[in-house]
Amino acid sequence: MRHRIHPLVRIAAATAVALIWSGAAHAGARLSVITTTPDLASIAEEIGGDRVAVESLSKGYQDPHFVDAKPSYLLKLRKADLFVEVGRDLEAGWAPGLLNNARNARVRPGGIGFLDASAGVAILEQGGRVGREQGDVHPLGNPHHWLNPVNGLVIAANIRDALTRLAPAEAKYFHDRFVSFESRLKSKLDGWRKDAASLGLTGMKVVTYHRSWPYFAEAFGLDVVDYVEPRPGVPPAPRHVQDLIELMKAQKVGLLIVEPYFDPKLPSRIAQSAGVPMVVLPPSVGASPVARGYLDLFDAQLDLIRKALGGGAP
Amino acid sequence: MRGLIRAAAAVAALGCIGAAAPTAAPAQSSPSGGTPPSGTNLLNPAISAVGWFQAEAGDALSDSGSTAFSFREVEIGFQANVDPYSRADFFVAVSPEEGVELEEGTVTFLALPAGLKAKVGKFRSNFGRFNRTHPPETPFADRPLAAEALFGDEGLSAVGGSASWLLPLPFYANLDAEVTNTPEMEEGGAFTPNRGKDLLYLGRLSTYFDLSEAANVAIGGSFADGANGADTLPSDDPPPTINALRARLVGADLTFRWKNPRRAIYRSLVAQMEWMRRRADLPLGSDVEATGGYVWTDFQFARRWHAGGRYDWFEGIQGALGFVTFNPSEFSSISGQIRRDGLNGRSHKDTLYFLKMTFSIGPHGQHPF
Repeated sequence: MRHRIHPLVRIAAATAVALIWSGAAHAGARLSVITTTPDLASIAEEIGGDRVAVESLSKGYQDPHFVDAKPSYLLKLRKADLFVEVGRDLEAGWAPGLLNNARNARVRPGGIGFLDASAGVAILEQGGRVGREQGDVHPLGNPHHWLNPVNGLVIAANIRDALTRLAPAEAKYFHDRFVSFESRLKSKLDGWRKDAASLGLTGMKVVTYHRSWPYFAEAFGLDVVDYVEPRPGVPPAPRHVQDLIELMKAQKVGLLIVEPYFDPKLPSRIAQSAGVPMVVLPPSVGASPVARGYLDLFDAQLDLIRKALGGGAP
Repeated sequence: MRGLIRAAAAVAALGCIGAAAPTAAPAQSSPSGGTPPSGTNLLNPAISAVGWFQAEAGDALSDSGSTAFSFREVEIGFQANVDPYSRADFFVAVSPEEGVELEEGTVTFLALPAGLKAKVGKFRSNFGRFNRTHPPETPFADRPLAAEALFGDEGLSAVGGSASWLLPLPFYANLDAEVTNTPEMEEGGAFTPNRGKDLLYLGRLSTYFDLSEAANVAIGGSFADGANGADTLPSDDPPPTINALRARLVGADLTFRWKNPRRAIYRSLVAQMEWMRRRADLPLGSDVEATGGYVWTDFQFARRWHAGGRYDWFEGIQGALGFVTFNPSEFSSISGQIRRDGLNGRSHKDTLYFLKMTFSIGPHGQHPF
């Protein structure tokens, strides 16, 4: 006797087949990695190779504090296997809302696909009294940690571990790529340190616009003595500008460093008045055409500093 | 952005994006300065507060029932994850005149399958764009005529449940459905509750497109159907079953935004328009219709300065408002505003002057978008 199959059973069977097929397809696909910044994306590509598809939500020329939480980003996060943020509240103004609305529990904090890249990094400007009278400070420390290449290795290790959790079968692949990245970075780091020393950066007093550069200064021996912004996020008043110019003259400041997303008019005037060279330095991959990857970023920065200080080609 | 930053603003202004997460709750030391007995305080919710002080002047003030100075409200927010699956957001509004009121209190389930999100509690109804913005966070010292007439001073909010579905499409599209109690409203409001079981049903479809790296547009359509008071029956014999009349609301909204991402903190433009129509049953089978809307724009012309204006109308009444706003920081704003109602009436008594000051304290929340 032939039994008729109930339509609901047919639908359930078709759905199950589709789910199994989609799961199998997903298992064979590259891991989707979404990062908040292109620096993290570059490192994730270094570690993930052809096993990952990486995309950064922000561009290198954007101020990472002020990225709009566009709904179109939800489409990227909805399917993400791994979300990587710089952390330390750098993205507090835009990433949490995206994660809460991406309908993807894996990439929410605590999920297997969420990674705070600052884990294990030696964070600067941490501790002590914190209050809004100090401006838009980050209570968890200065978040611009990727600007010391040594920290790039910690970030890379974090990404390696996160990718390995998501795809244990690829553990050796990710580890081998990490070892390769580590080797190339350490080799370049020696060169960068020699370049910095030859440029006279060791011990050089500098002024920066925002507090973006303490890790860069830590890496190459710069001494940041003051800021164009008197407090983070607070535009300078005329009195501060005048005091800053006097300080730069008195302390023989050697360089004024400005991020590309700030209007350069005021720092240009300050640099001119103080008789100090100014450089617009890319803080992230993609902020300058030559800063194509994380390992290029420091080449580009040191090259721009060389030009600002009046040096020619290395 | 008006410089007023906190998580509540995201709940309101993100519209389709919805609630924002708190940043890490600040670590708290014990009052004595010694070591806390345990780590329990670290699990406290993120606490924030937004204050709204306002001064008003003008011949129309005597008719409006307002006073020259008012502390409109302070909104206190408590936000935290409940567990790995849900988060809670509570906003309590405290005002010298209105007392203490739960403005919003929701538990949101974030780990649902198939692109779904759901919440239960008291929340601002997802009708249009403006209604979801908490009053201190709007660019205005007042409310647009249509919003005030239909939803009152505080906007449309109710107790119930909501489901939100991010559609599996290659572009952003979100479908929201809400079922709530029909809220008590001022006379003339969009809905009038009759019996406890007469519910308010609401649906909203919203979409969003990037026009370029700097420009984008969001489009939405909303529909709501709720009670409009009791029907009257011609006879009491047999004892009447008083059915509710219904009122239906439809709305459409469009928001255009521009901001150069390379100079994000210096220049931006937001332009928004919203239209809504209410059709309500009347006893004995007739109905009544009312239409209104508004158009506003906010241009950030310097790092800390905004200027903008609004034109609004409702049932033949027209009004306009202009404002200039200064943001000393991300966390405070001072806005001078002029409003003129009855543009078609030309009476000097229709002009009001406002000074709106807002300030927020607590952890850095989500930037509104």
